Amino acid sequence: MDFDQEIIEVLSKRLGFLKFFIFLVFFIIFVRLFYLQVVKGDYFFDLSENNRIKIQEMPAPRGVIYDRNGRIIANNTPSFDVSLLYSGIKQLNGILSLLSEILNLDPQEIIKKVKNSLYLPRFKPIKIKLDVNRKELSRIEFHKLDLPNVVVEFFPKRNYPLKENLAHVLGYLGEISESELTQPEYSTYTAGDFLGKSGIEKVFENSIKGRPGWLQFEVDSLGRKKGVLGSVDPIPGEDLFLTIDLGLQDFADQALGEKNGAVIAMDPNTGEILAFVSHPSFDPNLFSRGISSNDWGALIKNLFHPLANKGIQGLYPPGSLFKIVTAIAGLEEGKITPDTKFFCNGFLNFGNRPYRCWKKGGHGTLNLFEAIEQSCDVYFYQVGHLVGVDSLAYYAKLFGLGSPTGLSLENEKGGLVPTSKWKKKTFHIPWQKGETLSCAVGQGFYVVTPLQMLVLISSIANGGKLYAPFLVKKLEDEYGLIIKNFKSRDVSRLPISSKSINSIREGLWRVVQGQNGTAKIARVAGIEIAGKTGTAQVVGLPPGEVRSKLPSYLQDHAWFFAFAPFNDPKIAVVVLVEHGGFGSVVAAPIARDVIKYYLENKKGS
Amino acid sequence: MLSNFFLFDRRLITRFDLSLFFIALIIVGLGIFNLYSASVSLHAVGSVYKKQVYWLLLGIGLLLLGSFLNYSYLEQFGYFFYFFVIFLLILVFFQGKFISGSRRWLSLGLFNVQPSEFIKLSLIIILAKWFKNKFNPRGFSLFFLFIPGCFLIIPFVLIFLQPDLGSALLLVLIFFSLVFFVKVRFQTLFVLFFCAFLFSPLAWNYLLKDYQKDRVVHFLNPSIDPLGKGYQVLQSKIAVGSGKFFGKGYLKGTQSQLNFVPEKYTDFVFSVFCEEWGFTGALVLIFLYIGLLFRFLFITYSAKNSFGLLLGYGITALFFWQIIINIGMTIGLLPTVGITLPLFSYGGSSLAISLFCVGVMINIHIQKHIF
Repeated sequence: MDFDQEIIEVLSKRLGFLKFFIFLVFFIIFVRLFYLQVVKGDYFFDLSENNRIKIQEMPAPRGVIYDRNGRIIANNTPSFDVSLLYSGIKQLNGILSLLSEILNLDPQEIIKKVKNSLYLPRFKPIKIKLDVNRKELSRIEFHKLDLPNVVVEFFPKRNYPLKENLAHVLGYLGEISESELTQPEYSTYTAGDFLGKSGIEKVFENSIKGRPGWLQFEVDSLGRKKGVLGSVDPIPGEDLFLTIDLGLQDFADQALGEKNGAVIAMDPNTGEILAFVSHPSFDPNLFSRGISSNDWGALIKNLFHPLANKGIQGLYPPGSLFKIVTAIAGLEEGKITPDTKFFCNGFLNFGNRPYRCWKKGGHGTLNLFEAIEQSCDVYFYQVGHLVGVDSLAYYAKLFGLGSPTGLSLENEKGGLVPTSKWKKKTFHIPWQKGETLSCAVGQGFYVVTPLQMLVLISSIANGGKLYAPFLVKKLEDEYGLIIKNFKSRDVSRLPISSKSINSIREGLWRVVQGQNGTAKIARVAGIEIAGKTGTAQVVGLPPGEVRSKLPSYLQDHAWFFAFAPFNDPKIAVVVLVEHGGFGSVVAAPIARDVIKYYLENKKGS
Repeated sequence: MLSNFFLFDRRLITRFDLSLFFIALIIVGLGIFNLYSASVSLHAVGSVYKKQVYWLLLGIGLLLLGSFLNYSYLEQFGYFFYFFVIFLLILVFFQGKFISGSRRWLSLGLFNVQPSEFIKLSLIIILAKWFKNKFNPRGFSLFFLFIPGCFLIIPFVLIFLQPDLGSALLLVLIFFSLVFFVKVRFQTLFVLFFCAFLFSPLAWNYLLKDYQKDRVVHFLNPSIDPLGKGYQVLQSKIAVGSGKFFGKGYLKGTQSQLNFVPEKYTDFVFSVFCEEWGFTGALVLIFLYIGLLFRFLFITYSAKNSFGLLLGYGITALFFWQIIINIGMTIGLLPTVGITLPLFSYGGSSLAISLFCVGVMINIHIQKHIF
């Protein structure tokens, strides 16, 4: 017992230290709790709210695109995306293997997608596969319980029923790029969003995209919905009415057929584009939920550049179409009158080389009307020589050549209007007089887009008004209220006398209607068409060569532009067929048929 | 004879430590109150807290038994208790019920018991008895630690294999708490540390399971995978922190109601409580535990004999480590090991044995005044 008391005494002394130890440890706990709950309380409270509240975006359907008569050109169809909610995920491997099997994806590919998306907001599901088919969808639904965290999201997918027709005007959609995401004008988008990447879809993106809605709901730790806390309905994008006439568009598309090039039609009194065809084309539906690398590769590798809009991005020598400008310059500068005659024997010797006329034997003596009618090169060599290169350039620019027409599509080219100053600056050599002769017949340095030619012929058709071409007539909201009406824009009244314009009109009339007209082929009973053919050389032809023996990519481009009816023009058309050969043979019939179709069907309606 | 056994004496009533009794019951009451909140979101509403109430009734019986049973009988039958529980642990090893990956429970038909809870007290008793008998004021040598070491190793291995890392770790902590308390010689200490140093890489490579290693790694660096293994700790910290000063209110803890808090009845009950009652609630609970431990210490200090003192000290250490480790892991100070909060977490065996321990402490207190 005494020994036991000794033990107690020894041990009791050691107990005193314990009190201190317990105090210390609990003090640490106290400090930690104070830190977590008081100092960082708001932070953790926010985290718990983020855990609990998920926000689901309800995508807004893009505005529907109609033609001028209210026929659907682009709309939306339901599609379903499979996504993964990564936060709070358990049994990742099981989900991955099942998901990859159903969707026919490599599990590594899914993991890559997840890793790339970890910077997304927590609530945003990571898109694994877009636009899954019915079979995949039903299998996902069937395995719903084995696939927690996997969500099927509805998405209104962009649909273009015209497929390849009108694709260049409409453009296509694409997923927002990382560089776009960093720019302030895209601040309302998040990764994975689709937006217009080209064409009308891009230019009118802000009107057409609408505003997404939000669904706020409570979820448990497995991401199961527990109840809706609030919602904001999406606002559909504004509907867009194009100036395009769908019937004419279809017809023009078929009229150009398999040929590469462009056919554009416009109302010469307003600038409204009635039809816009560029071949070869592409199917914008391929892009609607992300284009596959195979499809993209095929488009990029195609030598005929299907993605390029030939109507505004293709640059071609204007060829004989330019003779109109040369003639106007001669008339306005007082160098010629309509009755001024020149003699053509098939070529003009200038400097120390001959400048050939297209007609080997020559046209003999002609006045201006006859020269236009027969497209005599020698006549216009003479006029060009009289006027000079800089004067030609002045008139070319009056018609808008050398700068974009301002159509509401991206990357429109301006072409080139050469001047003596320009040549000196660019090549450091002075202008050669002979070059003026080439320019006078639309060769040499001149390059233009088909749309510029259309604007030119339209201004002749309407008596001297230069209209800015446009594609969109009006914007309407979901209730059919007009948001905005687009009016035709009269860029300028050309400072050209109506006498000169009328002389040109007379000449153009004779091109189709005259005995020796180069475009007699474009005659249609009951419709007075006036126009001009053109053949743009791709390469100069060495003496003795025969053009038809050249390989196809060196063949000339075929041009034709026209308007009708002559006395009260309702439509102007330009046709360009790449490497098509003679404008009179290849391009003119297409324009003729388009005009005929339009005027006949317009009368009917 | 019977009166001798139970010491029925008026002093049993007058010297009964009511403050300790009530502190313990308040903690259990808060625990059940908290378990109700943690379980309402489950489909099997109510079963968890109701079971805990039944165990509480049994536990109060055990507490009274502990209070009135002269603890010298614990010393007397120390070996018997110890080997009986070892027998149960072996039985668990072969016959135990598998629940979520480990074999910890013995099915007794109506309910399951967890012998690893009983071994904690049995080990304290047998070590207290051993150290008392072999006490040496100059400290124990390695030789004398061999037998107590065996007392530790046998249940340690059995529990480790269940596997129940938390309980196994707790046995080691109890052992060393007692060993240091009774003092070991410097050389012994040195050898022990040397052995531990050699043993730990071996244990890391051969003994620890992958999930256990993961826990240590993720405790040391939780940012490795915030949505994977670190998820539990993070969610627990969010629950605790989001309670802020006054808490979200009873039954309104979103982290626990929506199941973001893992193991919310057992290992992480404290975060459920902190979320709903905030810093103020947490302080109340912590002060209750401090009160409990200080009362334990006071009783230990006043024990009438060295066995009582060692027993009281062991029980105090047992409670202390469980409280510290559980709260520490809940608030992200320690790695997650499955150790429950005594008197507060769900678990029948744990509650029963904890209340019995409280009873033993009360008895130590009573005994002081009897002779």
